[in-house]
Amino acid sequence: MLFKKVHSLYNKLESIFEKDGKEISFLIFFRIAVASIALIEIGSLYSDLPSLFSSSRTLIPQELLYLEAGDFKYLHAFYGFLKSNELLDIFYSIAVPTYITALFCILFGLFTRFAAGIAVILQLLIFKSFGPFNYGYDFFLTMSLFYCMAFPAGRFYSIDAKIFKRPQIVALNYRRVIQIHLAIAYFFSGISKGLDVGWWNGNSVWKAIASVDNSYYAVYPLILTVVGIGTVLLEFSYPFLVYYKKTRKYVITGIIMMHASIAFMMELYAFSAMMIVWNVAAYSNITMINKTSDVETA
Amino acid sequence: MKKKILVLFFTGHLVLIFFQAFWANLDSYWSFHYDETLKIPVLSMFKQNRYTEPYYIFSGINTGYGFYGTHTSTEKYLKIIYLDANDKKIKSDRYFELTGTNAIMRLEGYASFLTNYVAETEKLIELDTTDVSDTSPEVVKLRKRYNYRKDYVVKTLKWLGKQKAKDIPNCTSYTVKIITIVPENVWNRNRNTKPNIYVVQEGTFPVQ
Repeated sequence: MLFKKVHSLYNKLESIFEKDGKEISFLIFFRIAVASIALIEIGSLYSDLPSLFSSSRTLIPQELLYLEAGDFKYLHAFYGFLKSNELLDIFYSIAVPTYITALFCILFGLFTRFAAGIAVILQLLIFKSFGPFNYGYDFFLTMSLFYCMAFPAGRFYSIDAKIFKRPQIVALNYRRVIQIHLAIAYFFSGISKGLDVGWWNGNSVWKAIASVDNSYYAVYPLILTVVGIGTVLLEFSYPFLVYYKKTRKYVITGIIMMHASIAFMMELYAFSAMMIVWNVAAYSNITMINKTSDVETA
Repeated sequence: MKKKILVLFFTGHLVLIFFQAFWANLDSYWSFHYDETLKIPVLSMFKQNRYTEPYYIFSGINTGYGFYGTHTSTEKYLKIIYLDANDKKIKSDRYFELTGTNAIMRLEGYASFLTNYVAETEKLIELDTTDVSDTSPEVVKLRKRYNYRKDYVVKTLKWLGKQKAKDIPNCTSYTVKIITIVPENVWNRNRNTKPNIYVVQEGTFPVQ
């Protein structure tokens, strides 16, 4: 009886991850897009990186940077080990180049799982070392690299496919993981914003965009209020509207527009690009890549 | 078999994301409105604890999802003013030699972190309502904690200008400020006036 119930529950779970024919194009797009954004982001930070991550040129000592971060106990032990074995300088000189090499390997699909594992560890070590300078993008990049490792992202349209000649099939619909992840994140984001009165009267939007360097502080209160309420409703209703085919394209377009606005108004380019990639990967039909994968899987 | 493992693994992964998001919301709401940390025994098993923490960190799902946007804060930034022997301004800077938008935007995030840190330290100081002569272990622990936090901010501000100030001719001291835009009600403020700013904390340090 119990076995039957467990079996039936498992079957229900398995049906959630039922393949829909788009999982291969998803894997190709997700891998290439994530690696590209990560490479562009580290490239845009490269000249300033020694001020945040280096043995002696940081704005404030590296220890002070991670002292109050949540990951202190891990970083302190790690750096303590490097120091006691006189490996600190070697680590600082090879960490970033190795991270970039790993990202290129993910991009071209060379030893993809291994490269993604290395990339996620180095991304955590490098970026958590200046934890107070981190923001949402860094977390989403960790998640994306983790997914590149957990999903068979290098099985298609990659150097791995040429070398290993593995069967061009996938066990389940990995796209569903991203879809559910996004639904949870937006739904709770909507609830959270909805509980803050500032999102209903325009004050929170003003706080988010007003700067001494631009003139967004002069935006009409009515516009701020409409944007605030629109954001709350869009995020809260995301899981429901995206579930139905008829409303899906409208909510995805709305979310992409929201992230594009965040990119330009708050200059959070990498974060917005990553969120747009997740949404496109989760719900778009990437026909060009589908054709390629069809050829490969034939 | 492989498929079963994958289905169970990703289901567990998504359940953890759900709990993390649920908990982040509940905890944030509770601590803001009731000024105390929420403890629910069963839910605490799933949230980030010493057993689940490594997985949360490695998979990146240990985020409170910054974009949840609860109690959005206004823009914060740091400013350094280099002074000569007569305390006259030689030059000022907001970007600490950082050149790219990416790093500058991250620096603003750091200013935000310091502002929150100062605010939390002030909250701890307010908790110390007993006389100076009170040396009970809890009070001593509390005083140690907020004094450490005060020192941390001062040290941080001092380090931020230390190297550059040495390279500027005639610079004998420098002031570092954490500045924030004062929150205003958009329905009452004059739309075309620049936002008011407020110095959260500042420190002046001699060039050594």
